[in-house]
Amino acid sequence: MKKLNFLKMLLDVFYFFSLLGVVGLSIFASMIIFFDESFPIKIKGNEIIAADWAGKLLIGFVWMSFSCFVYAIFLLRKVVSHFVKREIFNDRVILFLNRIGILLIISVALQDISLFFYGMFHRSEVEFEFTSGGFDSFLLGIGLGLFFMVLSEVFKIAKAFKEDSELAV
Amino acid sequence: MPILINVDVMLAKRKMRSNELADRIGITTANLSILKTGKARAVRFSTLEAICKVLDCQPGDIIEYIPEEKK
Repeated sequence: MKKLNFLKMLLDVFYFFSLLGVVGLSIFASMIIFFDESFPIKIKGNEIIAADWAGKLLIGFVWMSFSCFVYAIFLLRKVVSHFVKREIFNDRVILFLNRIGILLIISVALQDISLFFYGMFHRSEVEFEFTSGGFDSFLLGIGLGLFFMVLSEVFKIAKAFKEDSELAV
Repeated sequence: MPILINVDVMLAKRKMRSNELADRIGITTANLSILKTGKARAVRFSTLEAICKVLDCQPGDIIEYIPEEKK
């Protein structure tokens, strides 16, 4: 299946560069958190002051969020490699799909909620921003996470149907 | 499971082996084994018909219902 092989290649490349990003972000976040380095940082269009505790905490959450996202991509790679081996309705695939959903929700929530509270406590302003159509939208992120969790349940049902069909003499 | 499969009893009565029955009804010995050991989730009418034809019996001779309380 050409599409599947292309997807696998795409995910491998994306995962490789994301892993480099995690390493870079880990070094950068360590410098910010453990040293009093202060230089201008922008996260999703918001200016962050890295020198104070709120900024350091926010950068920590952003690092956790990105790590969760990269782990989700890693699990997605594993799911696709199972598909390549024609192992579709498999316990591991079902487990990984559910985990991908949870990780996406955690990743989006960590980043957006921490940014919201940073704005509220640090700049004393409450700001709601609903973006539609963008891939970094909070609602889309949560929706995508839930979709993967629902897909996991659907695969579980499909596995039961498959077993019933195989045991029909 | 409340449904009991008595294919072994009929095979003994007709003095027939499992693999011969499987060949004649057109299913694999593995599938026949699934049926005999009670692991089957469903039986197709076509399979039931073929078994009854080959063993010269009625569906009730092969399939028996035992309510849960009686076990």
